[in-house]
Amino acid sequence: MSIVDRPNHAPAIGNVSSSFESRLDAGSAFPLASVRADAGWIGPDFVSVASVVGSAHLHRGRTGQDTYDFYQSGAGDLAVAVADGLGSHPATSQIGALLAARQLCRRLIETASHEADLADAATGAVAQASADVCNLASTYYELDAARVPCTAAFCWLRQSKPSQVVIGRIGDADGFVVMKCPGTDDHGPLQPCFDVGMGTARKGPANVVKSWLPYPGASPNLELWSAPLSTVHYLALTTDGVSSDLSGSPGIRRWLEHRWRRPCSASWMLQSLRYRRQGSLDDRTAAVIWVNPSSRDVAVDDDSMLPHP
Amino acid sequence: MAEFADYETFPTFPVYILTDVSASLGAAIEEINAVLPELKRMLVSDPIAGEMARVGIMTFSASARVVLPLSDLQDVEMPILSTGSSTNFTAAFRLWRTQLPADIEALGRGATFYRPVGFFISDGRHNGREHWADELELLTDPTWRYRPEIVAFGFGAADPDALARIATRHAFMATDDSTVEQLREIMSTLISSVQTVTSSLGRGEDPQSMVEVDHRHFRPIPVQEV
Repeated sequence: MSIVDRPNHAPAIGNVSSSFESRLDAGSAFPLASVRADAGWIGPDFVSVASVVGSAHLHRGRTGQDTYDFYQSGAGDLAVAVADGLGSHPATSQIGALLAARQLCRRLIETASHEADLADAATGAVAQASADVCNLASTYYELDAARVPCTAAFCWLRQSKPSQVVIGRIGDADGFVVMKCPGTDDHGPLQPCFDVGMGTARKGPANVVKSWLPYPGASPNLELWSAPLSTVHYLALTTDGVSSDLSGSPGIRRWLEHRWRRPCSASWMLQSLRYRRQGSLDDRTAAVIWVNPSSRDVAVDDDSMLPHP
Repeated sequence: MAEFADYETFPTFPVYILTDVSASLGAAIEEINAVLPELKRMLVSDPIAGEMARVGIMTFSASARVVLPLSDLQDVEMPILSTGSSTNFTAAFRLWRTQLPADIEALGRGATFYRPVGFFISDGRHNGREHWADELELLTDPTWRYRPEIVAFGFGAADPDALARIATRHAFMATDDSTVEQLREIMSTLISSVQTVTSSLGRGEDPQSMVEVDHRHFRPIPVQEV
């Protein structure tokens, strides 16, 4: 029996099957929720984030492996991370993703107040987070580092002067940004912070990941992007299940740009990820952070606007 | 830096069947012809494989040819194979090495593809003039972005040592009494393997998810590091 769900306005692109079934992974020692979402103000910024298990995982009765986390310091700095367990370890890599997302956020915030050079600070924080994942996985889950690999993307918004945002990634998670147009209320298009050519003819196959957390010894291939906080309208962190859709489908890109045009509720964000695209069957996680938005209105599920109280 | 596609592209899992059609197959080739429509039915009915798998079929005897370019099987009729003459692995690998990049690039700029998987099937030994090792080395060069994973199946008078060198992950010799039965089991395993491979969405090293065989009908061959 196929899944029957409420109708929505999300696009269906290509030849999408109607035969997917929904099976829960009741045998996993470490199952993740099939659906998870959060949205709300964190200081002056609005964060909306959702994670949805992939159709392939659900059809085969396997737990998803995506997750996210966020953390704020007393000084108002904000860190958000998304992480994706590698499919090579379907039973345990989601633990690595959970730990990595949490520890990246915590270490970035702890490091932020002490370092002047944000790139150095981010690099150090990632190294500490990687060590944390090894230690925590071993101590609390009796898993060695090789069984908890994951990719991750994070952002770190530093409010103290000079206020800056740093976006980083390890592996094939991604960061995107919409920049303000100086001197106007307008903004530019969604654009990638990093090379989005992974999994394409130019870069090679998608299922060959060259960098992940945790890593023993030397640093991973950590990519960083930064900009003054005042120049950013919003930024988005995605696992590869969403970033490949953003890069490979103009229709999905238009849909998500439309859905993310203003701060939105958790259910709105979940609905945003309900699009269908032929072959797009992996877990989907997206975290969108609107930087000090000028409007306090938040889009909700029924497309009406709810004034901020 | 941007690599956004200008038109719709779709994540694709390329699967190739590279099969011996030399004269020695004889009437056994009808086993392949009988199973190809079954492969199509499976892919059309499986939602994951149906959305992601694209299948290409190449045959080799004295020369090699593409009988089905990488295709969505929903949209094509399966070819009917016929036997040729001798057995030329070199021609097979050379054709595959030229076909792969053409197929991948035809998916479109920005299209996501997973590492191609090929199922190599042979009942005999290479007897072409050029040795096949150099061509295989180019095909499986670790630095070549299109390099495929190869699962090798042998039956009849196939050379296990050659299969061990050709395969990158798994190699098997069929063990049933007749070549017809052996080939039937190979094709049945191929169908289930295509389904397993395309649904794995695996990343990194995950050899266990590649192929599952019934060990009553197959003898695993240890794969050699080249």
